[in-house]
Amino acid sequence: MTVQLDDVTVHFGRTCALESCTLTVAAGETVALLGPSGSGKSTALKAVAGFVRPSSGRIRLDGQDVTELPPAKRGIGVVVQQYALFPHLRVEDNVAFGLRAARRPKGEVTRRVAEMLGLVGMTSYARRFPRELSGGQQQRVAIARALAIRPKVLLLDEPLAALDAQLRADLLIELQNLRREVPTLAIIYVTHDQSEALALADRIAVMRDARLIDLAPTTTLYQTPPSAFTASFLGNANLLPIKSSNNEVTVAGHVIPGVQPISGKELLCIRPHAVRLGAGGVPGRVTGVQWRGASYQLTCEVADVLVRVDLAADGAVPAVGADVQLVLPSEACSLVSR
Amino acid sequence: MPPVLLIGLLVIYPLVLVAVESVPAWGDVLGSAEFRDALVRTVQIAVCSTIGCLVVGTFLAVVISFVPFPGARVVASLVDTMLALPSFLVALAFTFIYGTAGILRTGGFLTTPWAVVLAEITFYTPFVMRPLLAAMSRLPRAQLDVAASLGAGPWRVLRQVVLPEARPALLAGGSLTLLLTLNEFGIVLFLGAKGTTTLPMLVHTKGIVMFDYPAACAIAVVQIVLSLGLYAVLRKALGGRRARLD
Repeated sequence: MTVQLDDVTVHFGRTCALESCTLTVAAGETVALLGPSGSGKSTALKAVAGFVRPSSGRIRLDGQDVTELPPAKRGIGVVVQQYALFPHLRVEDNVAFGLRAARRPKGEVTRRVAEMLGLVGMTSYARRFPRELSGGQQQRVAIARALAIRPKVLLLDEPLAALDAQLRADLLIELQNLRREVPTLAIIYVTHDQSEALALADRIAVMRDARLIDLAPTTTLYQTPPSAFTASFLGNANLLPIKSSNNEVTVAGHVIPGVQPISGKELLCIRPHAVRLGAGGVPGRVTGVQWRGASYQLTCEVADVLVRVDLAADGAVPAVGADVQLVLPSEACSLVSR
Repeated sequence: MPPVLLIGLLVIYPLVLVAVESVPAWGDVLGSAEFRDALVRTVQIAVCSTIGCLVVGTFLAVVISFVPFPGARVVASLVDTMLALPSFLVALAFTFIYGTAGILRTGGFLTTPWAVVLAEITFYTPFVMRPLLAAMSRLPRAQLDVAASLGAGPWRVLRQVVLPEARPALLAGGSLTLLLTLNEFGIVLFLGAKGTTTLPMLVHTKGIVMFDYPAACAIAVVQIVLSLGLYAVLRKALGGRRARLD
């Protein structure tokens, strides 16, 4: 099923929580809404679910206008950050909730509940109450409950944000598996965590200040970010001010070979792992060294700008205060506007 | 231990006096039709009022919590104000509305048990609403949203999500109301003096009007046993529930 937001604006009183958002998610596609808190990503999701009413614009499912339809009539699966399991119902009754609301026959409910609990690996917990489960288990049940009604659209609102790092990684893998199990599902995944967006999404919509600012396939967005905000929010890119002249781009007076100037783009974007130390680079001074297990992250000062550099842990690491030269390979550089 | 002694002197000693005074009257009181009628009437009025309060209170709490209307917050704070007023005010207001010279002139309605029940529902409904409003404001919005997204209409959400989770609050408010309506005196005195006699009324009549202290004390002891018994049962029920929830 195709989900379509057509110029959707949402106001809460006087504050504008979402401004003119237009986005289409195709069947089988996963789109991540990525942005800091207060950027409007959750509001966009709630508008699709029908929990908030757009002040203007339309929401369409498979071309059909559902803007005026209550959430109960939309048939959309929703999973939220705080699980929102019904505390007085056992796991199996939580999963059966939507099926019973739809008055499915008893045998079908039992079958479907068993199938869903199997899908999320919670079969042996069917008779437990939510409070007897860990956070990760509760979120698995919440996913099973959302999928039990066979939705064509699944909305995930920061589903892993309340879990600790190890569980987050585990559940991320399960969500990837889930996409293979239900290939026609259209998924909108709201997150502020870029690694979740990179791992799951086909496309990423970057949101900021109630607006959708960039929308592109995940790899495109990562490799050639269209804006400075996206570059730094997605993958922590370094942004270096440049001067352009005569088909040359210079950083701190040093020519970067192979990079062509583009008018209006005044920042050079490069990922920390792409920067290398070596002869003939831009001169800088090391101001900090952090060991990260698999790598070191260096902070280097280059003409008043701090540049992060990831170095493999097995090589030589310069000390704080050392003078270094930063090589910026042209294939890893892209130019963005301020 | 002086505080314990003080409490003993001020609280327990009068109760013991009442119990001792009551001894000679037990046979007469327990055998009298007057007493048995009043006992039955007391329980009937208390149970009817409590059920009424639960129904009206739940309805109002749901409307205030979930149906957005201008002034909902004002209404919620009015509920609190209501708790501060004395109960006989309601009875007094009723005489202006339903009394023989009142707006509706409903004749004898005011002295019937139904008038007492209506007045008690009016006055005690806030006692049910207060814990319910608190419970409903604690209910996570996301649970209601998710229930709706799973295809549940408002009625199903109310029955299967809101009310089950408000059950401890309903139990607490309902049991408090039952206790208070069992012991209600002011409303019955103002309204039902002629046609409706409850246990507190009978204590008043025997003790203050007829100077039959032993009988008054005997009835008072029954009243105390009834209240403490109910209190013990409900404490056990509520306490057990709390233990299971945590």
